[in-house]
Amino acid sequence: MIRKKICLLGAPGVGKTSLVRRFVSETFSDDYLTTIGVKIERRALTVHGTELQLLVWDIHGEEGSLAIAPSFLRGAAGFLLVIDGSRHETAMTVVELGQRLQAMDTAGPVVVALNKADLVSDWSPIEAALDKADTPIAGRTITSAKTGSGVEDAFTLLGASILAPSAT
Amino acid sequence: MSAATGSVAELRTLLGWKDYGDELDHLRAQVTLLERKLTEQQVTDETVAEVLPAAVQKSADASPELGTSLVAPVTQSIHRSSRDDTDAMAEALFPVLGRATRMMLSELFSDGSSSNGKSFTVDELYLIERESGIPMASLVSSADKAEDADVVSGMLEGIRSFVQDSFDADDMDGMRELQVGEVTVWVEWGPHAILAAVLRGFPTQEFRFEMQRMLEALHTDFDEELANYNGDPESLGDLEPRLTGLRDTAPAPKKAASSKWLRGLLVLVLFAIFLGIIILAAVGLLALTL
Repeated sequence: MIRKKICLLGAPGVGKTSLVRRFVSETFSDDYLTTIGVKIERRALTVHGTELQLLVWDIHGEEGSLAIAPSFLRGAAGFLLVIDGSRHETAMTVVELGQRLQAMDTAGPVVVALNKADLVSDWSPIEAALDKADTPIAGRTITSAKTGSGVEDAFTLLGASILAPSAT
Repeated sequence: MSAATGSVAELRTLLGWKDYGDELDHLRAQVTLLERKLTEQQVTDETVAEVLPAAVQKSADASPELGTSLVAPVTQSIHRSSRDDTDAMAEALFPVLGRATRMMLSELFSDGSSSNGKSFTVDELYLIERESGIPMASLVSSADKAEDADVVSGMLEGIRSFVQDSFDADDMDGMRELQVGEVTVWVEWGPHAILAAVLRGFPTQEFRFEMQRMLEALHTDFDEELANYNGDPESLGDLEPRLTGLRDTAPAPKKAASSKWLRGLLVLVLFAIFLGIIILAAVGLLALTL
């Protein structure tokens, strides 16, 4: 089975840890969990017939800062950037994180998760902001860690982008 | 043909002389070719490359002159290379330096580095990709732990990253030891992979050397595979026998049987002393009675 490291990034409170919990163990807690530094989980997926073990690095996002230890990102095959749909400013964080990844010359594809779908009815402002952003994005998907909708799709999309030849 | 030329040829035939005309023509053509090659400086890289290895070997066999004259330029080149690209030089010397250092340390501490009767066990071994923290191979005690190998490997890399970033540690140094209670984690660093061992007891310096030897051997045997690792452990083949071999170099814990044997001996001695006292007392009592 092929193993790949992926990193979850985004502003604090966007639901990164909840997405991971939903993805790896199908359990979910409404309690807000602040991660410190990094937490690593794993989950096996089958993408287009290829068995893939994703090692998910849930990286702590500091309030008001884009500072991320570069060594946490090293060797990552892909990135899932998470936006809280109910807070438009978190989309800007994702755009800036995307630019930062580009500047760091990271090779992996970027997928954006538009999270908290259970709280948002209109995604058009965020979609428009992402359309204008000069950041290469392999795909975007709407998710809700609370209901579980779209979570599997987000990670599968990232896995497929990693395995696709164009992603390398 | 004139009558004179014809008669000379006839005379040659009669005398049995061989006509070397063709050979002479061939030799003339060869000379012309060589002259042209020399004139046109046809001594190319290819022609030199053809004779160079044998020429160097012959020269070295004949006298040390060539080696002596090469010392200065080779030294300069090494200096320049190590200044321009430290990593390349470090990677090239990795298998050699480790061995040399171990030999030196073994000599220095030949009396004190032994286990001194202490023992330890190797609970788990992980070969981890240096860049990503992804496990390449692992040796653990149970299937449950095998599933955890991904997370354990990643967390080791996470802890290293945290320490390195927090304390501005040099990337080349890496984290070599973690200790929590009676569990010790030793980590050895290679250019493309790291080897981590979870140990209990009193690990010896010799085991550290064994870890280094294995990591160097893996970098020698799988240099390209490790450098271009794509997350598929099958690209490295079955590494379990190698990891098992490393685990088995740990000195086995002393068996409880030996202490049981000692206890048995002690009981026997005490019983003999007790018996002796009884006999002496009996003899003394008998003497008094008589």
